[in-house]
Amino acid sequence: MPDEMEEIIAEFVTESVETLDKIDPLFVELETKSDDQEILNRLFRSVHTIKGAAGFLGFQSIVEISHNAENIMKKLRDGDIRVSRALMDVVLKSVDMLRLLLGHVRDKDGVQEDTKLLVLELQQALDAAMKTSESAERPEAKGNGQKPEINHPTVDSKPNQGLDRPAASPASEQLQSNATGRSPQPSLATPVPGSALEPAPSGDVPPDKGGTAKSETLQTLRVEVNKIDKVMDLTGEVVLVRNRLLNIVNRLERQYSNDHDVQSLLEAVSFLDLITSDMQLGVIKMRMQPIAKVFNKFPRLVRDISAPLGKTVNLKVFGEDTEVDKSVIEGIGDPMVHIIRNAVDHGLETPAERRAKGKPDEGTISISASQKGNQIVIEVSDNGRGINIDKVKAKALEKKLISDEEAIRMTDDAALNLIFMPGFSTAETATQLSGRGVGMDVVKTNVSKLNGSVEIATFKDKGSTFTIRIPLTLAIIQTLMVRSGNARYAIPLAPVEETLTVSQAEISDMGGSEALVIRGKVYPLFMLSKMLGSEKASYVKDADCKYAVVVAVGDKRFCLGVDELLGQEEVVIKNVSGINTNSSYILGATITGDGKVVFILDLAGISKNAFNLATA
Amino acid sequence: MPDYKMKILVVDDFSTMRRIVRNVLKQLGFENIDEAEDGAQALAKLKTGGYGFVVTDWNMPNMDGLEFFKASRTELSIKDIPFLMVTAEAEKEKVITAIQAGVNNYIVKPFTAEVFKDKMDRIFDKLAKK
Repeated sequence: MPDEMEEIIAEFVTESVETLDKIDPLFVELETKSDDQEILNRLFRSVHTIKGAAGFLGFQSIVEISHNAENIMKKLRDGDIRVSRALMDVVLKSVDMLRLLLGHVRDKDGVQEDTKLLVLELQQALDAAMKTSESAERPEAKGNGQKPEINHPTVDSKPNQGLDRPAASPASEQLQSNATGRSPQPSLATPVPGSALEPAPSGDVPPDKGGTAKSETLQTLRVEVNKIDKVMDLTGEVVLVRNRLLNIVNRLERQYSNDHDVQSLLEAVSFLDLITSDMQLGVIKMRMQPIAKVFNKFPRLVRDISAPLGKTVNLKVFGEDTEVDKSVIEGIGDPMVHIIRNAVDHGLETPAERRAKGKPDEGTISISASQKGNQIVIEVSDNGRGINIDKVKAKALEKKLISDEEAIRMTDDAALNLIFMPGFSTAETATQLSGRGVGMDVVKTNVSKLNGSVEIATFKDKGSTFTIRIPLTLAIIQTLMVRSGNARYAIPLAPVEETLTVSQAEISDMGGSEALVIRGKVYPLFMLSKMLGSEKASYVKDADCKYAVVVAVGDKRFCLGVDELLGQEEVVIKNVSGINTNSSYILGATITGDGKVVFILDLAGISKNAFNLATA
Repeated sequence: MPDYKMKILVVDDFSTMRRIVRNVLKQLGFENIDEAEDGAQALAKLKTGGYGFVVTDWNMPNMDGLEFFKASRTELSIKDIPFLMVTAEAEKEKVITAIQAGVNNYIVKPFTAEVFKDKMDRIFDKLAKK
């Protein structure tokens, strides 16, 4: 059954990679909690399991590496050796190698990796650790890794003869047994009667209970993402149809309120309304996963970055159970890695600098995720030196990203956002922290792709906080329907702060651009009709607007001038092919309750272009 | 000769492993297969009745293979269901413990369908002789 085999291998790769992702942060945790039995158990089990499955599937290199890593984990678990940084370094190396090997399996690229060196390293690390323990004269230390640990004194009765084979040179033995495809021991003909011996659990690892309080047996199902997406798509369509039905039914109700059938129809559609909302929520939740999937990478990242810089970092993680859509999981990793790298490299001072400032040697980075209303809020904070706004401005000037005049006029908030400009952080990263994309503009781009925004707050010598906000549901949003000229547009509701009626007299002219003064603050005003070039309705005078919609995009606040406010509507965002949504004013389009196609405005795009136009 | 319609419970916390074992069982002609992720879940399933055979891994969270086995021996309705313990080479001392506790047989991974069949046959032969 070759197809079956393909599927099994695919599942093996997915599951093994997931397992490695889950235990990655545990290795780092182990360095500070070296006696935590639960962590040790989990680590041992995970590597052991991967080895087992790999053995069945014939992936020799994977078996070899995991076997050697397992040996180390076993000794750690049983308390025969102690955790050390050197030991963890080599174990983490093997985890990386396993990932690499699994990648080759998945990609079927036939690439072989030379694992001899790593295997040797693992064996040597284990030997070294064993010697250290011996010299510390621990009573349970075994002289060598050759014999299996026998906890029961009367174990050498005949039926067990075949079992006494040493676990030495496990790699070669493993290869041997795999070659013959048969289990090396004879099966026991007679079970040893249970009364003969009371097994002493002393040397045995206690089965891990208690610590894993999650005894709720979660049933899970593996489902291909396309299947879920298809259902999401269909759900979106149902939402649109429901909107139309509601529309029609409401009209009917006004006309035929006494008709019995109309009343029944109204009831049925109300019910449909409720159920559709529930279904929508249910489907959205299907694609949601705990953000821990992303956060799990960070302990290791911080460890690997901070060491060569000579900095000690305390990483605190909060809210890793917060669930986010799969696309967020996929898209938020890179931006966060950049921000964290930045925090460790530039934000946190060296221990000496910190001491001089009266701060503890160890810097702290806090990462948190939470759901606030319709948004996911992710924060990355450090207690380092803060961002020097003057330096930022100077660098932007140097790279000719802004003019002298802009530099003077610019607010501090705006200046901070300069670091997101492409080209800002190039040669600055002369440290080893090169990576893929360059710097913070990658952050902004990737976050925008998720319809999100990122803000910075900073205090000199106290630290900085990056706040990323992402809408909870990506495909269905609440909008404010407006009319500008002859056309209707949908404005995403989340960034809308308020709406106002405006008369011509209230509009101020500030050097060619229009603005509104609201409660003492000045907001730029952009006429939607002018920006989008929609036809003006014939009865409307030039530049006359009746309503202003105040929106906030990132740290910018401005007003959009429209002719009429048409009310709130929940819409499904449909992509419009042929439009590059990165550089236009449109997020997509939707079909409204009355069956018409309406464009959904991209406020981030509008904001970018509007301000460029204004300063042109 | 085991009953090919018999319901078999496969227990392992790694779903790929469960799938591999399921595959082996299918090769031998067994189609009625159920799965559990750990000893606790498995015990609960056994208690609902109808199972004729259990294949279980040793290392699992919540309740490992040995504990699961021992717990099943204390329940009247399920204490006679034969258990085949799946183990790795390096766990020989644990195997001894298991056998002493009364596990019907053990099998070392990786194994082939033939070896599995052999182990299973031995278990049922022994039971038949009782």
